[in-house]
Amino acid sequence: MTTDPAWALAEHVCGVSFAMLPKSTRAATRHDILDTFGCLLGGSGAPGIAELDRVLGKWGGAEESQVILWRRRLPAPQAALMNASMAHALDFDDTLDHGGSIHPGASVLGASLAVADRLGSVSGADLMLAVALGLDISCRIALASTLDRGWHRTAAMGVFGAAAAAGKLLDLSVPQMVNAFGIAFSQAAGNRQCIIDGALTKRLQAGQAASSGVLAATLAREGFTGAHNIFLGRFGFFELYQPDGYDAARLTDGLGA
Amino acid sequence: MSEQDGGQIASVGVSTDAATLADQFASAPHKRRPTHIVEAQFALPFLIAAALIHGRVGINEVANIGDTAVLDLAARIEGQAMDKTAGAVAGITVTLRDGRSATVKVGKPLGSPENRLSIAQLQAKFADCARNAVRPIADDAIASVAADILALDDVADVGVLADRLT
Repeated sequence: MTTDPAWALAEHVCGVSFAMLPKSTRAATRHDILDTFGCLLGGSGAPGIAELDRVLGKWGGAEESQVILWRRRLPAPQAALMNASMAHALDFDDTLDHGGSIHPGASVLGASLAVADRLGSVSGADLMLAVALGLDISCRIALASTLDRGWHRTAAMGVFGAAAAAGKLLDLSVPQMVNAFGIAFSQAAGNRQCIIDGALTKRLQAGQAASSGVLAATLAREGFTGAHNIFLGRFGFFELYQPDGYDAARLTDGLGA
Repeated sequence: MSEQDGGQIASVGVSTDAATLADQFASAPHKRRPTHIVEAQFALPFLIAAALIHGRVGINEVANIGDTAVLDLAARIEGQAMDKTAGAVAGITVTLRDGRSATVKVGKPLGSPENRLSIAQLQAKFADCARNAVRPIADDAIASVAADILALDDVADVGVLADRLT
């Protein structure tokens, strides 16, 4: 164990139960899920989604998780990619405007729906808990990243929230959750050049974050390891992705309060 | 607001901050005439023109980048430095050819934590999105899924959400 804040975040994600969620958090989570799920439906026919379906459908694989409305089941990471890409395609989805600038819902819900479907018989309360924790993780990382360096935060930071949500549903231990964050860090990517150039990769990046989060949590449960000094290590997230532009304390300020 | 004839509008002035002015109004023709839906999503003059012409900015209004009435009006929208005295984050002044004029200032954008969407507004957005899905979804299925999510604490198996849509 190290002093990297990843451990505190992992302990928090693993330790919180549905009963511990305040009433206001439950309400906000329901509303976020309603909004994100609606955006997913509305984006299901948006440009780029059919192309994704053709490619992923051709590849196929284990029929673990449903691609919403596309009448296709795919391995959970690929279903997460599709569902989250749909949820972000319209850019109508939830936004943390003040200080963070991230759409946290698409990758978190995309990952959660895919893992829940793979597991089967997941309750609404368990889904809400995973989503609430995932949203919190994504927003904390976005808020701690105080300088805009052109990342598409929805993806490059949302991958950690997706991993947290997927890991919560998979009931990871604290060390496994840290590994999931470390594996997510290795996949953290996404930039906003796609906005400037009007490219479809903006929606793909949200899907990629969801998919990478599912992969990270699933690998961690199998014993795969990731970096542990994820945020403050020599080549950690802040040094590498946010040089001279971060406030690490914001990762854990008021955690669980 | 119903469909409007953009020809009745003499001018539209958008007051906003310096960064937004530079990004949206300075020298970016695709903000007025987007060539792709992703450009349209981030094109303020185009979206404001769509709102003025159609009375809403929904999925179809954003996607219809060839809407000539919207494009004609978008080409005439001017950006202005924001008067910060009113505490607004943005403002729009529309002047009609008959001389009438109206100004709307936005301090707390709809959807922000200080001006949240109501449950009814969230449901309406959900339904609007669902009606633009890749395949038709029955109105009762749309209502059922929304109701399930709003009572998610009591849902035994979230698989029901996708099942209702198949």
